[in-house]
Amino acid sequence: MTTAIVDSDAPLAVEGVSATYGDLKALSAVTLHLGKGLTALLGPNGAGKTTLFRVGAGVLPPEQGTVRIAGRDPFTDPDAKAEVGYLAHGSSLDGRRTVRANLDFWGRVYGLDASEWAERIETVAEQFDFADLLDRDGDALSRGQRQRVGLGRALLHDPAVLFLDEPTSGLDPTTAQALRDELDAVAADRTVLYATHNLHEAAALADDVAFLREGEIVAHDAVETLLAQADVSGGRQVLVDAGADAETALRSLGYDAQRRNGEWLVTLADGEAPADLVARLVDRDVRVSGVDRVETDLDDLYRHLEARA
Amino acid sequence: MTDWGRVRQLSRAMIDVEVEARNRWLVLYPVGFGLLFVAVAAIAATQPEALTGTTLDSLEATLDRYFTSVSGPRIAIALVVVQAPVLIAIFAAVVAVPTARSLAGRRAASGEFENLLASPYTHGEVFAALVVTSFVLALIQTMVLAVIAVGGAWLVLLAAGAQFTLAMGPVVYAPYLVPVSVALWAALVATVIYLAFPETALSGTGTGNALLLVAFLPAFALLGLTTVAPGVSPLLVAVGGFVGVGLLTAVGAAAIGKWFRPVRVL
Repeated sequence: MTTAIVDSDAPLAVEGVSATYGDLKALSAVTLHLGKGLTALLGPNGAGKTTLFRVGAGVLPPEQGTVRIAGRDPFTDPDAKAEVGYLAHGSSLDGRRTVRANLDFWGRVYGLDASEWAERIETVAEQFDFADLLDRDGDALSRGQRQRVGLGRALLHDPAVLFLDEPTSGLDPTTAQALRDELDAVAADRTVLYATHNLHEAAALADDVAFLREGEIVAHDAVETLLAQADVSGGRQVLVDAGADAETALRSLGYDAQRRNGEWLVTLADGEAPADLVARLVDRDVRVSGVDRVETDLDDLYRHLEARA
Repeated sequence: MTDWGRVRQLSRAMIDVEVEARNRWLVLYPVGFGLLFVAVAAIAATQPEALTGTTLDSLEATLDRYFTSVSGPRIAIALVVVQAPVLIAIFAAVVAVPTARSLAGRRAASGEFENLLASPYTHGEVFAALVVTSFVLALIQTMVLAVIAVGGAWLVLLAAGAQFTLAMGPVVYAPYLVPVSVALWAALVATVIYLAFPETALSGTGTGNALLLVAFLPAFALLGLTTVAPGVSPLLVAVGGFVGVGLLTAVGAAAIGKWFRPVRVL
């Protein structure tokens, strides 16, 4: 898949964008230039992800800076918004009407002609596996089904740029995986900005990852590049046999261990030698079952970037 | 800049959705009120003492303006002539407010409003389409009411042998013209309230209720006007309503453009 980082002629160009909610600075001089491919937007709750989506899609105006979709301002130019597919956090459906009627409505909103939108409805329903739900009322759908329909709605007018706010949150693993597979295909010829808290999902799907923290982009690059540049050691883990003595000993040594599969797992700090801990545990008659080296992953990088705040 | 072609496209989509979703309930409500109006007219004909003194004075004062001879129930006839346009206008406002609330409030609460703002329309066009949709739905219901209430009452009048002066024209079309501006104003104000102050209005607080009163103001003003000055021309009232509400709507739309912050609704 192509890399998502390109120049300012990118399908989605966010340049120095700032936005506030009352006294709260939600975005601060955010710059992102995205080409085709899928960019995962990561960050803790309240980091500004939803605000960035809203400003990027022309739902809200930026206080400072510019947003361009294929060179046009989505807030003032409706033609630019015609190129945008938008899935807000939590899919919205008119529960009084069938899925097909809901999609009919959005087909008309986007100015598609009747035959065109009927065809598109069938296409996206097949693509996101909800063809059997088309004649069911919106109120009768589960959350996962609503999410699938929401994605179909966002793609109904075949947009070039997609904003997807946590599309797989709250879904069962099978449904989430099915959606991920579809997103992978969708991103092949589109620009997709995708917010998620699922780091494994981001690592598996994204071409690029952007970290947003307190309204600022603190890192944006290909996952491999970020991991290589971040100088974040995955470190080593010491595995300790479970037992009352082990827990007490670890606490007395000041370690915050995690219990896993009948063992205590101690992650060492950068530069800390496992031999030191092993020696101190042996002195306390605690049995050490092993020492592992852990590869750096997106999880480590996320915590590293978050901790830099 | 507002493109009225796009406003029409979005309004039509929303109107069709609402007409389909409300189905027969869209007309049952005004049909019921229309029949109620005819029933009230019948009661007024047989028991005029049921009306208040002020209303009776108002009705009596206007009878000679439109009728040369009346062999049937005078008060019932006057009720139809004087009160029908105003009562129908009040109905228009009463219908427009919950319609706007349902349209704007439900979309804001469900997140659909956010999707609308992300669709290929400016904020002004989305807002205008919501107002137009509420207005048209209110007008459909109001016209159904007018046809049944006024049409039914006129049948009674004709059956009673009423003969009319040439000045009768405005009385015929006033019930259909006067409510138009009232419905537009109510739709505009209610849409503003439920978008700009969704929590206040939806919680039914005193502030919300006070804001809603503004939506009913032209309708209540009409009621007062026809009671105090029953001889005033319905055509003048209709035209005055168009001009007044047209100006208020322009001011309101400008204020929306300046102060409306969609983030309040999102």
